[in-house]
Amino acid sequence: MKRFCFTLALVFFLALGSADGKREEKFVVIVNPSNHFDALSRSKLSYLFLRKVSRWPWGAEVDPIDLKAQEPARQQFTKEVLGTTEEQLAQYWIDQRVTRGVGPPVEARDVATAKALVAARPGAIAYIPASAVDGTVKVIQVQP
Amino acid sequence: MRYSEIARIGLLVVCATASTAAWAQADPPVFDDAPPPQKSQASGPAAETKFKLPVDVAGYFGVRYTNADDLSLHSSYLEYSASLFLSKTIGRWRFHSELNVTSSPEFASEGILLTPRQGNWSAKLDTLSLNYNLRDWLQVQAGFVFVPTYWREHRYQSTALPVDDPLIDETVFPSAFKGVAIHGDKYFKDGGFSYEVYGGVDQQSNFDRSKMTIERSRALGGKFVAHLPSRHFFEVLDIGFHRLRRAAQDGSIDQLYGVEFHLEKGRIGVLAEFAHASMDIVNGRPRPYPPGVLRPALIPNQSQAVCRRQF
Repeated sequence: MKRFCFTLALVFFLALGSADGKREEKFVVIVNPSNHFDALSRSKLSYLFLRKVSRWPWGAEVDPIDLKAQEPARQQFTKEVLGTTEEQLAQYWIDQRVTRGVGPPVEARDVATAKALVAARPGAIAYIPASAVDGTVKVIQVQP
Repeated sequence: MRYSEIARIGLLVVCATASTAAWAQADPPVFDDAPPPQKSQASGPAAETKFKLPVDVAGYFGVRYTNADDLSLHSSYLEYSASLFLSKTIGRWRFHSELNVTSSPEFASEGILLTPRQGNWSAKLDTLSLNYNLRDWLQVQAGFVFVPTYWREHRYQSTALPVDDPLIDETVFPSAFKGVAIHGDKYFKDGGFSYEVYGGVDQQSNFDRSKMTIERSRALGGKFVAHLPSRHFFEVLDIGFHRLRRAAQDGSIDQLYGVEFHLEKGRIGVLAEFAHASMDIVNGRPRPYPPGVLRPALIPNQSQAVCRRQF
């Protein structure tokens, strides 16, 4: 019995350690350096990524860029900013596609690609892990 | 009328996931304040797509088996339906269409038949529209704007079989409409509103035994939906008002009003609708009918609510 309890405790702590090791890095929202905004509210961000708003106030087309579904930053962004789940989001885009003919944002292959696209496109907006930020893109604050 | 749906199988084939990325990459966005980006700039590592379609393509195939207690000849009802959605966005212009093939004859009148009906089978154009986005709050859409079959079959299952007027859709009030609509959305920090004003021809189907006739009338209507602020507590918290006036060729008038309430929180959604209709009004009064003749449509009040829980 002692042995069983020890094994159980070991498994528990190993699992805890593993979960701790996989702790997700916080994402940041990035835009092209020419973007006029320094901060955006969660609501505004969700409107941009759900394609409810198609243009920035100065006329440039909003070009949201998603990461792959398995990226931790995307899962975090979907939950915290869009306030939904991947399944609900998929349903939302199916509805948008059949009623309006509007599809989801472009999906970048990886974080580096997302950053490169944002650096190249004036209207682009994306989210990446904080550690991936460099001088080619501008970080904007996410307000509640 | 009591229906018990035994089985419902829907297979949704969205083959556009890859193609969406493809056309989005193929068509660099148009920027008002800057020259179009260089092709080498606009494309990036992600633009190395192997397969590119010139349009965005999506579709579905559905099979529905229904056991209805009051079907006189057959107690069961089997329906096949498939749709192909083609869309394309270039700058401020957006084209959208739906081609539908169905074995359900009662819905065949809602689109434009592409081929003569073969028995119960029909192939039709359900939607064909062109939208111009001047601003998000000021857009113009023209064409055939019918309630998409997918929307009807997957979102309004309770009303899918008896398609009675008024049927309030979230985007279009008439079930089959050809004309022009001015519409838009405006969002604030929290909340916003959407509106739509449309005018054109509304297409209604009349069944007389095996013969079906299409009745067309001039339609003028609109809707206003307020997206109420909820500080992110609800994903959707909407209240909407709809209005439609139809004038038939024989001079009779239909007046329809509707109010809708839509709420979504997590996996739970509620859509409640109330509608009032004054149908077939001539000179301010309901048209008189001889005794024994059933009035074609008399729906003083109708309300319905759909609650959905996703698992």
